[in-house]
Amino acid sequence: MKGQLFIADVLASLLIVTIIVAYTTWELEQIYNRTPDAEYEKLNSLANDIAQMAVKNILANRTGGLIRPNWIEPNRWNLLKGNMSEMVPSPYGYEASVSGTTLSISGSGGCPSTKSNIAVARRLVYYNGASGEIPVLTVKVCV
Amino acid sequence: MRKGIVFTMDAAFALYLSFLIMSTLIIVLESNTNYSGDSLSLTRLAEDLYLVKKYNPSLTLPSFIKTGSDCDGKDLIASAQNFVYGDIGSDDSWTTKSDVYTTSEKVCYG
Repeated sequence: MKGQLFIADVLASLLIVTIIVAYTTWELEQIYNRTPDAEYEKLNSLANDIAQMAVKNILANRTGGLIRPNWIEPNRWNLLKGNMSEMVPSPYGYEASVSGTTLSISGSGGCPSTKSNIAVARRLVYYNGASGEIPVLTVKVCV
Repeated sequence: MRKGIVFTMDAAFALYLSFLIMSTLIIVLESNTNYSGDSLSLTRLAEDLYLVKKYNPSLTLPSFIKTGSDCDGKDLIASAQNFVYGDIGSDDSWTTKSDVYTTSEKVCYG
């Protein structure tokens, strides 16, 4: 039987393929959302957001009412702990450090390498007295 | 119309075309997704580097970052365009104007 452009069985086959592909894509999307990869993407996004807020605001030096981005103040390091405990709820773990000095760590012991899914965000910072290598703020979020 | 085993030849060809188009689309979307996160992180690091060097130019780079010609041949390279409220000059003089600082230096992961 002839259609205008395709014969009827071609149209039927296209319809069947569309339904199969759409259903398969939907199923794969559901499966992907439950995988460690998808979870990592979410953790990575969270770690990057926390690091961005930390260097631009939470830890930033304030002189004369102005904020110096990336210039972190040691006397503001405690503020990060309270913020991270709210931003990263249980059962997720977190830790933040500047060149080896821990600023904030979750009660569950942070994110040791034994954890299976760890996202890490690193940012370059400055503080008074820093010398040699640029200090690195490291934010880890894990399951 | 030539008959195949199950479909006619043009039906089989339509099936082939459909799969080809969809797989190409999925691959393009997938590769775009992979790069977007890394690009953002690297651009932020490039901006960090610019700001930190402005505060203290004598600090040296950590080993996980490379700049300039060391980035030649790398797949993922960024440079920073910093939009800053006020001048953050090393002399601590602040102004109320908004400045856009652009660094042309390339930054990449080491």
